[in-house]
Amino acid sequence: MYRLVVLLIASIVLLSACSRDRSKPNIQYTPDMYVSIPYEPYGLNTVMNDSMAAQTPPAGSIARGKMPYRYDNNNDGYESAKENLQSPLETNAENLANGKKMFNIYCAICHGEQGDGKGKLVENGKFFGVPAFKDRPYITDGSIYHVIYYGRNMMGSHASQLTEKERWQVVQYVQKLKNK
Amino acid sequence: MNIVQKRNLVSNLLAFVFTTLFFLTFSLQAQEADPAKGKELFMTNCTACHQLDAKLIGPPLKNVAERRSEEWILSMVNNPTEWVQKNPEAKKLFEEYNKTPMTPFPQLTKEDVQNIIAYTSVGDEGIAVEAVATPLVVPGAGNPIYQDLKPQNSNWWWQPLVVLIFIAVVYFLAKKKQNFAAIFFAIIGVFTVAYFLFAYLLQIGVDTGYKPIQPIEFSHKVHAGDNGIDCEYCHSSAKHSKTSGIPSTNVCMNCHKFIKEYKGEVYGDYDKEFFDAEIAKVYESAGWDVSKFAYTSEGKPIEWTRVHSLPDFVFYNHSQHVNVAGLECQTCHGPVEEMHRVEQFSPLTMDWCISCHRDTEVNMDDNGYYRGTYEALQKAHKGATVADMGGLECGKCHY
Ligand code: HEC
Repeated sequence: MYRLVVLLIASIVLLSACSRDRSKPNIQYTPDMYVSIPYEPYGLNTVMNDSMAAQTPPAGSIARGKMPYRYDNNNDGYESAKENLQSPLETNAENLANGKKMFNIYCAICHGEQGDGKGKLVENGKFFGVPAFKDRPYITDGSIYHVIYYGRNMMGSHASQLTEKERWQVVQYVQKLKNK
Repeated sequence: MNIVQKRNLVSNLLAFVFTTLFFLTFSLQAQEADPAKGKELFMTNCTACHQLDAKLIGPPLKNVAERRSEEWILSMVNNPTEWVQKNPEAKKLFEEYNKTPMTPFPQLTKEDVQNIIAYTSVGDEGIAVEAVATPLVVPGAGNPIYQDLKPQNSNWWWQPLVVLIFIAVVYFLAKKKQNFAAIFFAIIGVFTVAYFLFAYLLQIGVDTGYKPIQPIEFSHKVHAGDNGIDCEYCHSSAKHSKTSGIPSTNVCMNCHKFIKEYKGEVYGDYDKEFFDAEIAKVYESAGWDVSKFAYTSEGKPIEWTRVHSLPDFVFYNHSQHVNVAGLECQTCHGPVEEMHRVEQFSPLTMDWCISCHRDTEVNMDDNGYYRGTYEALQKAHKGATVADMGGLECGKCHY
């Protein structure tokens, strides 16, 4: 009888631990198998000065398999890209399809799915000054790529969100919307 | 003295008549142009670079009509490149604003420009405001399940109470020498306790409902729900990489360079000032100076608190699920677009993974892997689930 009582009281203590604060993570059974010994992406790395595992690449380094972009982030670079930069991709259905997909994720929120400058942010009154592609008849493949890469005026750079190939696919789709 | 006063009176009168005349003509002119139309044009065409009272990429445009003639403005709008070369004042402005050339707007007519000028003269106050912002209706919003997830066991106190009652009953019966009843109740009691004990042990290491407080009160509902920004706009590496990616602050700045204050609906205990201060944290992180409209300092990454994490002994890849399988983010993460503060929706247990692998049929038709490389496989395995394709092999996830 006495043992039973002890057991029951012990379980009360255990059970009362059931309530937990949802802003804190739960306890783990084997933390040494849960927590990674290698550095996690975005995790801590106390060896580095700023303690971050994710470091910006040193200036001038080129990632494997990538080509540096040769036009400057200023108006001369823009003009030069507009004149000289050519798309390495051929226009075909597959490229256009992925261009459309990427455009609808990364550009349509401002430029609208039809490229008419009436994206949801504009309609909601959050962002203004987005042009319809039709009102910019002078844009070329090169200039569109340049604008995706560096941004222009109020539009920010989208280089970090799209790979080189995806940017060119988006360029194709923008041209399609512009000429529609 | 007298004479001087008289002269004053006469000149004052004259000045009054002339100014009223001047203003009359001026307002007559302004009446022809429609500032409301001007505002619309201004918002769609000019606001990327100009505001009324603040310097942006170009100069502030409040009361430009006092500084420049209509012809001047029209030339600048229709063909800025040429005008900057011809006109010394325009050239001076061009030099002053970092030689950023103005975008030409040949499509704007003389009348359009007059409307815009009218708007810059009267400003927002001069226009009868219509309520533009219609409240958005998000499907499923207001679903009580996700509104405010209380701790699941918030009324946990009844559990020890039940146990105590059992003890009391068993003790009482034993004292009364009611042995059979005492043992009967004791057994029920032990099973009940075992049940709860087991339930408790099972949830160790499971973080469903984990909802940490983040360094910035970033609302997924406002961004992904109300404003409809695609998940992948910010979590852009989900399509190519193992991790879905926490956006670096430059991605925030794509919109927040422009959006300096919170105009949405306030929620919780917060007011607009609170949210404006949260946006200011983004500027601090990016090293952006709002008044100078430029990046002025180094910036400092935001230390977000991780919500979802899998144990180190299991492998999971986002691109495989997002890109190849074509899953919606919500399949695993739940209705994030309805959560202000994100919480873990799925248990992320092995049982949960396996159940989905058992039930999900592989889409072999739109998948290059099966269409091209393994056509035979595609034919042989029509209608196969992930499990049939080896999705339950230990080594698929544990290695
Ligand atoms: C945050 C809103 C926003 C997003 C997202 C956005 N843009 Fe823009 N975009 C703008 C604004 C504002 C302008 C006007 C800039 C200016 O003053 O010329 C613009 C201008 C442009 C122009 C015309 C530039 C020129 O040469 O005159 C192109 C082309 C363009 N955007 C393409 C894109 C593409 C492609 C994407 C997707 C990768 C995209 N934009 C995403 C806001 C946006």
